Amino acid sequence: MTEADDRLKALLQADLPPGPDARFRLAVLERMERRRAGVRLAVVVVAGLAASAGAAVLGPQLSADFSRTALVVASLLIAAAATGWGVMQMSRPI
Amino acid sequence: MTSDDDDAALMAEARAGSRLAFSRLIDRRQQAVRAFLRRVAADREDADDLAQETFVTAWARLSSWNGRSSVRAWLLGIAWRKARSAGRSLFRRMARDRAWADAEALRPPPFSDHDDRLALKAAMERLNLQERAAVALCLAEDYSHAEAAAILDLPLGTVKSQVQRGRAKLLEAMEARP
Repeated sequence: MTEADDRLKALLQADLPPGPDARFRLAVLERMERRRAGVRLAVVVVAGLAASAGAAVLGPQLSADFSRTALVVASLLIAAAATGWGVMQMSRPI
Repeated sequence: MTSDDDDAALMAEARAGSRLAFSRLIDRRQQAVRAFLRRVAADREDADDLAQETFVTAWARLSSWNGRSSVRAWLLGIAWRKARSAGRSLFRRMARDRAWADAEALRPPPFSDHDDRLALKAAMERLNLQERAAVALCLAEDYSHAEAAAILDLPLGTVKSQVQRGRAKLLEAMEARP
């Protein structure tokens, strides 16, 4: 290895991040938690939509007063609000 | 017990669901991952963002570590794929930085270690992504060409030539300085 290589290596190694860095670790753990919350939210939204769709199909068969359109609109609004909240949580800066 | 054995033990605990073990793994390996990404990415913020994503992905895919490589090499492999995916936006920012660096180069050259580092950073940004990654692993971190090839998922011959080309370009840039 030449002197120039040694110099190059020293320069390449000059800008090292610190050793154990609690802030970095906490930022990673927070992202992990947020990702898990996002997945949970997605499961809740999908389950809610599936339940609403099921009710929309089965409801009118159980009762003549059941308004399928109102139910679908209400469930879509709830799902949209939940999704919006989830997106805001996910994109919140660390 | 070697450092790699300690990592493997932590991985086993993390796979069993221990976030504490994974936290310790983050503490042990964040420096290597961040250092690698700082050499590959355009700036520290991008590098640290990619480093955080690297560990989040690692947590989600703990089962993909097969024990044949070190945990450190496995993490660097994930980091490399993150950097490659982000390549387009990184390159756009680098092009802006390069324009600034070229303008700065017209000024009288300074003489200090700090300026050498800035010159090296500018020279690194002129390398392509693969060259930068190969240089970061083989020249800065002393990985063998074979290990770097495994991390970067590239043929051995490609890594050798990327290191050679990258080294030549960097030395040329440094020697061009008075």
